[in-house]
Amino acid sequence: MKKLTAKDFENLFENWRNEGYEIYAPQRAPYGGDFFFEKVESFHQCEFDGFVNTLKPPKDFFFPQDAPTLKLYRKKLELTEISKKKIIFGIRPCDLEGLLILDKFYLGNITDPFYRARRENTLLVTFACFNPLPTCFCKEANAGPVAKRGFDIQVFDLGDVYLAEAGSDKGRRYLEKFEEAGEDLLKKLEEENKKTLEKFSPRPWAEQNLYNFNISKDSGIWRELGKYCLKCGGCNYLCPTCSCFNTYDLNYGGYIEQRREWDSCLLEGYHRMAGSNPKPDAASRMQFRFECKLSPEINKPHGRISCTGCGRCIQTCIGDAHIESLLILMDKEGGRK
Amino acid sequence: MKHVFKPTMAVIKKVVQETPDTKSFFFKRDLWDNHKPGQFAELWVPGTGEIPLSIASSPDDEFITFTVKKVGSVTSALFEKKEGDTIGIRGPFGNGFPLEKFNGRELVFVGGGIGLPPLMSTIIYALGRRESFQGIKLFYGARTPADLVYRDQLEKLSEKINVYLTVDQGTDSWEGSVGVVTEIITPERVNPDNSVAMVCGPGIMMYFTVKKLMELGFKPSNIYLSLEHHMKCAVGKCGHCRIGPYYVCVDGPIFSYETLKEVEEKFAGDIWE
Repeated sequence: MKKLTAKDFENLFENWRNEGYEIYAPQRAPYGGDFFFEKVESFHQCEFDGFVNTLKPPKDFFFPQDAPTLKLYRKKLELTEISKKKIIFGIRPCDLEGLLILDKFYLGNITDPFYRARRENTLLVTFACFNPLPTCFCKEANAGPVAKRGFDIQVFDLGDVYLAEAGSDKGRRYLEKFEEAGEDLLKKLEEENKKTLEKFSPRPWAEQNLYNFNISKDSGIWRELGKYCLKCGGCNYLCPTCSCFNTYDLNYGGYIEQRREWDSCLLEGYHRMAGSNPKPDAASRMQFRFECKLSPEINKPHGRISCTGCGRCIQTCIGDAHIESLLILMDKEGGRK
Repeated sequence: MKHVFKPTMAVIKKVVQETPDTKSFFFKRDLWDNHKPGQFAELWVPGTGEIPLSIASSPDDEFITFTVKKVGSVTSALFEKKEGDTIGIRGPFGNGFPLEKFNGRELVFVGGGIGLPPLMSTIIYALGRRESFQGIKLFYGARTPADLVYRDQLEKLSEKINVYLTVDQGTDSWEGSVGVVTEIITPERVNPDNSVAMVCGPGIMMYFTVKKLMELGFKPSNIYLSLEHHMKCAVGKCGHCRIGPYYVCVDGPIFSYETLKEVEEKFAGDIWE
């Protein structure tokens, strides 16, 4: 564990920029106060004051909301694979875990070349969490508040000083020159981490039900959730592990683009085929969505559930048809053991 | 490795009007090395979109063929295409029928309407390896005699294998059977003990065919269905075609009913839609 100051980070930023990295860090939107990852030039531009997490998960960098994949002009077909050296500075452990799930999904079995191109040459700098929101349950979802894997560098912001650990050779190279943190700082970190765990809202229904997903197809839970789902897709768009996409063509008169955009399994058009729809109601779409997140069979290739406890669906859903409601309904039906 | 999302721009070599609302599109055989009967490809009409289509030709054929029914925006745009026009094609995708497992068995094909093409690919392929199978039978139904695809081919085929045809609504000149396809699959015509059934057609037709085959004594593990599903990418990434833990595009489109039964009972969605 290394000890760093703000000045050290300023130097690191300069170093990274000289190496050709683009650095993205939390920035507060001018109106409303939501945070987004925006390009920054220096460390002091990062806005960590009041920052818990960004509105959109960082999947946007690797799986953009809407981007071209193919271009066809005068019979010439071009792929639009984009690979840029970039640093995501300030990614939270829950979102890092989400990204690792996306990696397994997009890079495993058949690799998606568009995702791979965007994902390579990325340096991930995690900021461990000390102030969870009431909607956060990374603790139960085994994704935080401290990252256990997958980061290049993990930073602990202790207010007057920063502690940083490397999680990869790439990260180690940048931290080498800094001095080791002393016993007193390590002890302080341990205390802070312990205090953090106590800050989470109690969720006695979470842990057991997250890992014991076994709801029958005709369960009233799906109808209950379906009643309140507005089929808006908000939960899908903000979920760090939702990976579904639609492809569509744009014709600019002779210049044609095939594009990929985020899709949502709660929308009618996601399921509809010419002449039929296998999931015409919100109840079956709720089942489809949540089996994707929690079913052991479906999540086997990821080696974990596809919920990281980031709480975005809880914040976003107007109808409360989110994972918290599911877990509470499961709890009521099954009885807590 | 070939880029999974980059289509090959291919010239249409021939177009054949099969029925009032279906056409066959022919492409050069060297579009890809090989395919398995029952596999599919993605056809891209630039400016309109991409759709999955079963490969209608056998790997042994001179051309690669797709038989298409005009049902939506992409198929309508495809219908405007003529010989010499270019479209994008990606493939082949999916698993195909596991014919290697069917050695020594009788192959029973059941098709409905536009569901015949992937079966036709398989029948032609199996005919080239006739000694491997005990027999080949085709049960095929369509709405009206005019809706039966490959009429000429079927006639020639009936000299080599048993072909049973039926239509929902007959016409004055139609002398064959009238009724749904399940009615022509009779105990005298199939032997469930040594047969394996391959089914493709509209959901409701497949639902009743499976029911009928089970009544006749077919085991779920001896019934194979070619599923159709909303899909975009064909490589298990876009998510649309997920049924339970399977992706129709990668783990299918051919599934045994044994597998589908579990999905049907447990996971979201109606597999028969």
